[in-house]
Parts: sequence; C-alpha cells; structure tokens
Amino acid sequence: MLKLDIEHKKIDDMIIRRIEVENFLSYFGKNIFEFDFGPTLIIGQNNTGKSKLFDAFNWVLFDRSFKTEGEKWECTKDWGKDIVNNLAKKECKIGETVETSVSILFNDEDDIKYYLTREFQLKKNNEKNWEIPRNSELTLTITESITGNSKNYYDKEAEEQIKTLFPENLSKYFLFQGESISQIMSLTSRSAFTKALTDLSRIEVFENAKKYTEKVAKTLKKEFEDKEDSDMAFQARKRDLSKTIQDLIKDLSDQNDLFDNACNERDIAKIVFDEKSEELKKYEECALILKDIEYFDSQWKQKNELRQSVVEAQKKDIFDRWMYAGTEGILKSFLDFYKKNKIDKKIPEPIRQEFLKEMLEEKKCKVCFTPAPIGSDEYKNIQSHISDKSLDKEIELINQLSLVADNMQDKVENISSELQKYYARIDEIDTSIKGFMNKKKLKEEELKTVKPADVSDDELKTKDFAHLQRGYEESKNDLDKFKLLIDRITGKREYIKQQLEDKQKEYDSLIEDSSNIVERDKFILAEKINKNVSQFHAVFLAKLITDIEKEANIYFHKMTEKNAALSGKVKVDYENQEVYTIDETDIRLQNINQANKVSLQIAFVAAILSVSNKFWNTYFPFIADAPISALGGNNKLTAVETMIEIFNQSIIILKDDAVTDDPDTLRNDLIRNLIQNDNNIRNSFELKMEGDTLDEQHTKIVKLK
Amino acid sequence: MAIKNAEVMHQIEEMLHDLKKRDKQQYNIIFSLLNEVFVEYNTGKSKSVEKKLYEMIDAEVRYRTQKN
Repeated sequence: MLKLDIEHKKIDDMIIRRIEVENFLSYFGKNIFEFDFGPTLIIGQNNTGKSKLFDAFNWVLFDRSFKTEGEKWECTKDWGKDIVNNLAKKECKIGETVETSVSILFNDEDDIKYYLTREFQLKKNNEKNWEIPRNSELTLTITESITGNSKNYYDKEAEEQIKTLFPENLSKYFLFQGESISQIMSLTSRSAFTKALTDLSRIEVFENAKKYTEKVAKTLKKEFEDKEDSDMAFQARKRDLSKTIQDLIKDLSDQNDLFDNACNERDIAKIVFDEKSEELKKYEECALILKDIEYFDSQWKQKNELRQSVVEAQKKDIFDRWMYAGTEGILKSFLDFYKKNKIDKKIPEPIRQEFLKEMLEEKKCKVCFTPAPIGSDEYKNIQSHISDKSLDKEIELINQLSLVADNMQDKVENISSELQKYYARIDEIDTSIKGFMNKKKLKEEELKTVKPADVSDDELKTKDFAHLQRGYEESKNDLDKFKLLIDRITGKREYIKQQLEDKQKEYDSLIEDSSNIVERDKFILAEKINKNVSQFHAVFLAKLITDIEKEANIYFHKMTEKNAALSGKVKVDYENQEVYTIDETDIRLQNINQANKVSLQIAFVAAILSVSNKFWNTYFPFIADAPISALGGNNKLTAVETMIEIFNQSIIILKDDAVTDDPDTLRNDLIRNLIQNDNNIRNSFELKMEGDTLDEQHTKIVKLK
Repeated sequence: MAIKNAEVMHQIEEMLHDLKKRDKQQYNIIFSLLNEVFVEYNTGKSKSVEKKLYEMIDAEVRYRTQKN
C-alpha cells in the first residue's frame, strides 16, 4: 500500500544566501558570509568565533544565544549588553549608540526572497553606564522576485512568519550543535526517541487526522445509540451490547494505562539495572584481582613466618654443633685410640668400690678369681684400688669420654650435610617467598589497568563488593518483576481484545436490523473512515521506521566503512524506542565506543531528516556547529563527506586540526584537502582571532574558496 | 519550511491507491480530510475539520439512501 519515494531529488529549494553579522559577540563591524546551494565549510581554531557564528543563526531566527558561563541558551533580554562586541563598545563614543545586528537572506523554490534582521542598540551614557533596551527588534521583508512586490513584518508578526518557515521544535535538528548531541538524541531514552521521531517526521499531521476521525465516529455512534429504535426489545439488546462494549473498551484502556506505567517502570528499572551491571562489572574484575593479591600476600607472610621458625629452630642446634665443626678429626683419632687400647686391654674396666669391698670380704679377686687372704699381696692390691679412686675416676672418665665422643662423632659427621639441608630448605622457602611476592606485584600491576580511573586505591579496598552484587541482584529482580507484569498485562489485554472483537461482531450483526438507517449508516461509515485512517497512520509509521533504518544504515556505513574498529548495522527498535547497533547475527552490540556512538547518532538524525524531507518535499538547510568533535582523522572526513551528501545545503562549522603556520600540516590536513579538491564545496572560510587584549579581540574572516 | 500540499497529496494518493479501488467515496472523504488537516497544520489556523468531516459523511450517507 505505501510507496514512499526515496529517490533523492535535488531541487533548488530554500537556500540561505547570506548572513551578515555586525558587532555581535566576537564579530566587530559588519562581517558577511555568502552561501550557495551545496556545502560550505567553515574552519577555525578554538575561540575564533565558530560557535558565535552558530549563535548568530540562532539569534536572528529564535532570539537565543548560548552563554558559556551558565551553559544555557539565553535571549537578548538576559544577555543585555554582553551580546554586543567588546571592541565596538570600546570604540563607541559617549552619547552615541552602538548597533548589533544579524541578518540572513534566503529564498525558496518560487524565488521569493526573505530578508530577516534582528537588531539591538545600546546607548553609551558614560564609560560604565549603558542604556539597554529590553528586547531586540525583528524585521522580515518578503519580496516576490517576479513582481518586485514586497511586504514587511515586524516583531511578533515577523516571528509568526518565521515559525511557519523554521518550526522551532525542529530547530535543534537542522541547527545542529554537535556537542549537545547526547541531549538531542539520547540512544536509550524512550521520550527522546519518540520526540525525535515525532518532531522530524511530522507524523503529528496524521495523528491530528486520526483524532478527528475518532471523535466524529464516537459522536455519530452516540447519536445512533441515543436515538430510540421502534422495536423496544431490539433497543434494549442494542443498549446492553453497547454498554458491554463500552465496559470492555474501558477495561482495555485501563489495561493500556497499566501497560504504559509498567513499561515506564521497566524502563526505569532497566536504567538502574544497566547502571548496577556496569558498576558491578567495573568492580568485579577488581574484586577477583584483590582476592588474588590477598591470597599471595597471606602466603608470602606465612612463608616468611615459616622461614623465621626454621631459622630459629636450626639456629641453636646449628650454632651449638657449629662449635664442634672441625673437631671431627680429633674425635676420630681419640676414638680410634680408645678402641685400640680397649681391644688391647690397656684400658681396664672400671671397678666399683663395693665390688672391691666384696672381694676383700670374700678374700678373693672376683675378676681373675685368685684368692686374696688378708695380708697377702693380692689383698693389699685390692685395698690399694679402694684408696686410689683417682684411677677409677680416670678410667670412668675415659670410658665416659669415649661414649660422648662416640655420640658426638655422629653429630659432627652430619654437620656438613645438615647445614646443606638447612640451606636448601631456606632456599626453598626463599624461592617460595619471592614467587608469591612477584605474583602479588603482577596482580597489583594488573589492578592498575582495570581499576576505574575515578576510584582511589583506598576506595577500592574498602568497596563492599558483596553490597554491589546484592544491588545488582535486586535490580535484576526488579527488572524481571516488571517484565513479568508486562507479560501478564499483555495476556489480559489480548483476552479483552478478543472479547471486544466478539461483542463488536455481535453488535454489528444486530444493528443491521435497526430502523434508524441513516444514523446507523453514518456511524458505520465514520467507523470505517476512522479505521482506515488509523491503519494508514500505522502503516505510514511502520514504513517510516523501515525507511529511516535503511537510510541510517547507508549513512552509518559511509561514516564507518574506513574504520575497522567501528562496526555493526543500525537497528531502529520502535517497539522499545531505542536505536542501537547489531552484529551480523542481529545481536545487539554492547559497549560501543564514542566514535561509533557519535556516528550512530548523526546517521539516525540525518536519516530522519532525509526521509521526512523526501516525503514532505521540504529541505531545511543543515547548519552544524562541531557536529563531529568526538571524531578524528578519517572518521571526521567520512562524516563530513556523508553530511555533504545528505543535505541539499549544509553549513558545517569545524575545528581546524591543522597548525596553520606549518606548511606540512596544512598540506596534509584532510579537511583542507577536501575543501581544495571537492568541486561541490563552492564556499569555504577560515576564522581567525585578531587583537591583543580581551577588549580588542575580534573574529577575522578569511575566504578559502 | 511549510509542507507543500500538492506533492504530499500526490504521495498520499499513491498510498491510498488500494482504498480508491475498493471504495471511492470513502477514499474521497479521507483524501479531503487529509488535505484539510495539512492546510490547518501549514497555516496554524483552525479549518473546522471536524465539522467538514461530519458534513461529508452526512452527505454521502444521504446520497446512498436516496440512491437506494
């Protein structure tokens, strides 16, 4: 049924021919920019008046300029004398006035010329005091080229005329400030998505038509139902059915409200869930690494303690035995001597005193069993041993010494090997300690790379990861809860719709027998018209979305084809009111980078403008300030080339990447090369700042082409 | 820029092609309705679209009744 003609028609439609900027913000005196059909590129370094030129368009059309201090758009009344160029104010003599004005000249396809001027005059009473009017003055002159007839409009009337030519609700799309793109076109906000689509596609026209047909159908139905039928039973049945249908419609409406509320709650829950997921992901990795660091740290400490205890344990023993290191030779000699003499029986066994006394008592030697009567030599010999304890003692000592030496020999012999074992053990522990220390350091380095830049080390250490996990779980539960609720409401809606359909059929069948034919036929026709207009509206919207997605993909592809890091296709998800990129398998791409995001936003806005313009056959000039400030290099170039292609007339204000006193960078600058080589670009300007002091600084225009 | 009706209505006509074949009278009413809505949108002034719709429906039904 729908056939949207999306052939790009180049028509000489509304074209801005010229803008004259006089004593406005950074512009001193009268400054003129001439434009033509096609693109105009205006480049400049920071603070050379680029955004001020963009403000000039906004000021003349909508009486607003962006104030950096408050970061908001303000009208002349709020700007006051600050809107007037400083040098112009400085040069103004006391008692005289200084005039600020911006004028634009444009024409439409019928060559009707529009000359719009906004003026603001200050009078200098003295160096510090100015007479400031409340508002600026607006004048619009419309001239028919063929007849030469012209008409003037002033202030309010002029504003009304401008609104029909440049609807203010669409201004942020064709007067495009690139750095506000996230506010203009949030990719996840349902309301921003709907607003963009509604504003740009002008679907309001069909929605108005639908409202009228709905109202008329409702009214005519009521007229039919209120009119009494001749058959009372029929009338009663008609009324009952009608009431049932009304109740079902009300139920359905209530369910629709519940559905919308649930969707809103779900959207909010999704935002929270996404935030929690993001936060958890951010810290999850850190948590794992911190856990490893903690483990390696504790292992390192344990090993250190083990080392300490091993050292302590061995210290005394080693130290004590170390004293005897070197005595091995002596001990061996002694023991050899002892063993030899023992074998040779040169070292007698020590004889106990009691044993000697027994021998004296028994009067015999108990060693060799020789009798030893009293007074005999043997007896005296035995006696001499009792008195001569020193010999026993010596022999005892020698025997003990041999025992000790024996024991010691073992130990002394083992000193060397035990020392080696000890050192080996210490080495092993030291290796382990070093190992854990290195692992800990590696993990600490890894932590630095994954830690969020805005989180301090202390904050990270005290972060309650369990709390984050709980927060994530709770947000997921909430989201699931709303999804479930939506499913339940959807089920209920379907059920009511089915009942409604059945009752409606019954009603339609019943009223065929009504005697109030005219009223009946009127309301039936009205309902058919309403249904067709609604269908038409729905089909138009569906086709619009498809065409927008198709165009968005063309523009997105053009902007990203030269960059391998950028990828995906554009998906316009009308049901969920989102725009995002998908991969080859239609899976949504997560965590897209800034370049991708900017390209996607521009592609989407351009697609809506393009499709809407092709259908409505109107072409706004596209005036963009820093539309691609987030992009660089080839991305920037392809984005500019794409914008040039999309719009019949584009005025693109860009930051100049080249260092202008360096011939090499000038030669290699991509945008300057584009200006030079692209014949479609008939006009180009460079903005520079002149003047030594703040009071004297003003924008100078250099025509590049 | 205000919407140019002629071009847009031509596109609408193509979109309503099927309806035109099935029910020309209904198509005429819808086409007229949309035209009125566009004019209202362009000019920002009320064109009593609702009243005109009533009149068109009333005229069509009375015509059919008389015909029968």
